[in-house]
Amino acid sequence: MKFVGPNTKFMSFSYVSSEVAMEIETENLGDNAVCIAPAGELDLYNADRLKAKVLEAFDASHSALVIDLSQLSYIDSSGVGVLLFTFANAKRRHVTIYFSGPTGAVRRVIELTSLLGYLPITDSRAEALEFLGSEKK
Amino acid sequence: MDLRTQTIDGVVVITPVGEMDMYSSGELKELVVRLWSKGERLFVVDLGSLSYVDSSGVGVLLFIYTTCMKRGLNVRFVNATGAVARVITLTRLESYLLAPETLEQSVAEMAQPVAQASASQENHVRRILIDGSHPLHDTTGMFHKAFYIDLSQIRRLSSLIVNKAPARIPEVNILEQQISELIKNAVRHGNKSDKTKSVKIWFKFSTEEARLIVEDEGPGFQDIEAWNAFYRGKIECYRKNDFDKMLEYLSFKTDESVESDGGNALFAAVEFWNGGVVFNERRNAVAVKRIL
Repeated sequence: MKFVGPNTKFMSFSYVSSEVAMEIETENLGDNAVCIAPAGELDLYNADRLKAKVLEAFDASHSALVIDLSQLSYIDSSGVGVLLFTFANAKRRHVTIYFSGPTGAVRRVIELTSLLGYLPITDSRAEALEFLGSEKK
Repeated sequence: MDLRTQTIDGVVVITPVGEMDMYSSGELKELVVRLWSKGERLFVVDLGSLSYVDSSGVGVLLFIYTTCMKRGLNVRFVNATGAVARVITLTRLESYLLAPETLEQSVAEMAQPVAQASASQENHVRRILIDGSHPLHDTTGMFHKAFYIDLSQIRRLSSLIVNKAPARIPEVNILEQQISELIKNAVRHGNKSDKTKSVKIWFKFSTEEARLIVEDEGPGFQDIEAWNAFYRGKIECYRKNDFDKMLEYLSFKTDESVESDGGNALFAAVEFWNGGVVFNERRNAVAVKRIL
């Protein structure tokens, strides 16, 4: 095990924590449907907040749920875990669910986890609404 | 209603079985969304096993038809008989939902030749190796430092590591994300967030590859064999579009797992680190490589 350096930038790692806020916006879509849109970075440090929002939606007996991912810039395995929790519980409760608009790194992590093509993912919130809408006719 | 799928020569055949009502028609739509986001482009919907469909169900079939058209996907509805065919005819949608061809003819017309090479590659499932003498564990020429950190400092550390990568490295944000996942595992599962325990990191980047070794002071990841078997099960379900069974494979949990564990970090890791994910025999150090 050989130490190779010097590597000033790496060596000078300062023990400062960096937390990027995650905001969650909720929109009532009418017809007993709700949209939950987390924005920013969804990870280990805040995934439980999204989970709480999702549980609230289940408790309110909504029949359809859209998780809008378009404003997320980052996701980690804990964040993916909440998406899976949401999906599995929606299935169990017969709640229609769509995940909308993941881009960039978020889409790529979903793909790497072999969930692109497993989770019902639409291009946008509008498209998810289109899918929900056609169910009511 | 039951939804069955099978893939024949690259064509996904969807067979709804039983009665289609409001909820089950939603499931059919959802299934199509899932399949197309996976990259499937060719669909045949076999209506021959449907015993009942009401006008809202027909509306859903039409919606699937028009959405597929909008997206440039190929879809054909075949085999409608009896009451189902009557509802389609009554709603004057027979030109969209009552294809005259049989299932076999439709598949044959849509089918695309599948290359032999990709077919054999599809049987391969990635796995975690255990081999401390593997070349990926050779630390010669790698940057190295030990850190005493807790969870809140991981993103900053992984950002600093990635800063050492060549400027034009592809997918640098994913590289950072995947590095931080390995460090999170080491801090959380290895060291149990004990800041007096070290996380040792080695790394080396070039324009051809990114290599990293993360070692913690924990008891080691003892469930590698179980994880490999679990991952194989998951990927087999995924490839067969067996979505119901895949529900059992969403996250890998052990007795050690806690509530906030995603249980999926290593699924992405074995795909991203395409040059290998190799633990040592003590299973407390993982060496990975991404071929760029």
